[in-house]
Amino acid sequence: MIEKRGEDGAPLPDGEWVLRLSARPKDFDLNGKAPPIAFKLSTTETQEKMPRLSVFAESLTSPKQAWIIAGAKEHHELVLRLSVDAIRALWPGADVANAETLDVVWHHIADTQPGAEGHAAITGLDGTHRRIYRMKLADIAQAIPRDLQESLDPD
Amino acid sequence: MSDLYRTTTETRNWDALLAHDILLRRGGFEFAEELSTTDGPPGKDEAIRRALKYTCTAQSFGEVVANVKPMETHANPQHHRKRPVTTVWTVEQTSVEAHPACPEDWAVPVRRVQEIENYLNRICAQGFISADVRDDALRAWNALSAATRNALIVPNACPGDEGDLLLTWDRDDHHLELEFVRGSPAVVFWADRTRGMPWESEFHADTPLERRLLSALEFFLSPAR
Repeated sequence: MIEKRGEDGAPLPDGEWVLRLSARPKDFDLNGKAPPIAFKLSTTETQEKMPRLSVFAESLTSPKQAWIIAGAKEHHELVLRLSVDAIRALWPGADVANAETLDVVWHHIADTQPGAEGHAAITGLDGTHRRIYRMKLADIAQAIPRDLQESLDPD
Repeated sequence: MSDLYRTTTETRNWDALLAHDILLRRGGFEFAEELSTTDGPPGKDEAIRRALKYTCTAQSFGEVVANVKPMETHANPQHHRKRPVTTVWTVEQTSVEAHPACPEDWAVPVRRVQEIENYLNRICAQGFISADVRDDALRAWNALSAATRNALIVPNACPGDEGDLLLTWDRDDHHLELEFVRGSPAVVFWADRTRGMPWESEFHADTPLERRLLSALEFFLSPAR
């Protein structure tokens, strides 16, 4: 359990979980799976000096806070939970010899809303294996409907 | 009305649509038949006969008929000119075998088309994707389905944060996706979860499909075929 965020760019501690908001896929009620497109860098993120995907450390940011900070978008119906350890363990495939790996680092943002100090980012999603990594991130994500999450944790 | 729906309802054989839908759902299922107002409802046996005449043996036809019952009939405002009435039938505990002489031009089953089209229409109406992206996705789905003689399973679908859309097919280790971004060509991507071996390329619904894409589609065919 983290009590305070680390330095900007420093890796999140092992054992932490991160949150990401997503739209609800057509077949979510059938298979409960997260969509790979939830892990696509935005145009703004792609154009940054260090492209990285916005996430939130679960210890410092509640799902509701994450939803608000991410813009309170109506279509963000799912909360995705991912283990930082599992993210770092991902590899494109057994037949791939050389590839970038993913990491999860602190990403300080100029936002004073509650929960903003938990902002972090997944790095490595701008490389040649970005699509297969998106697929694998979707595979390891726990997807929970936001309304259900908020009913369990009203804060 | 999209090109896909127009193609399905106006140029394809409606009976074959229903027959294919039935063959995809051995056991409990339901299907719809749309009828002309001037013809009136044909009755259960005739409706099933129309649906199955191309694809089933006489024995399996009888088996289906014995298990069919009307579920509901309602007006369909989308087809007030040609097909204003929809009858939904249910079939329970059937075992239907396809006849070897299936028609070459089996069309997309009604429910499969409507499932993906309804979802895309909904997220378009909600403003999550543009009409252009929706129509591109439906054209792509239609092209891929046609390339597999309509045996391709219905994809999952999900919008992104910037009006983009992803269609995905997943079975065992195999993953196929089509990404649509407004103003850009669609991208097709395939990967083997265990081995990797990914490839991606631009996708154009109006040009012949790549050989490797046709091979990839083989992993996502309906088990009924």
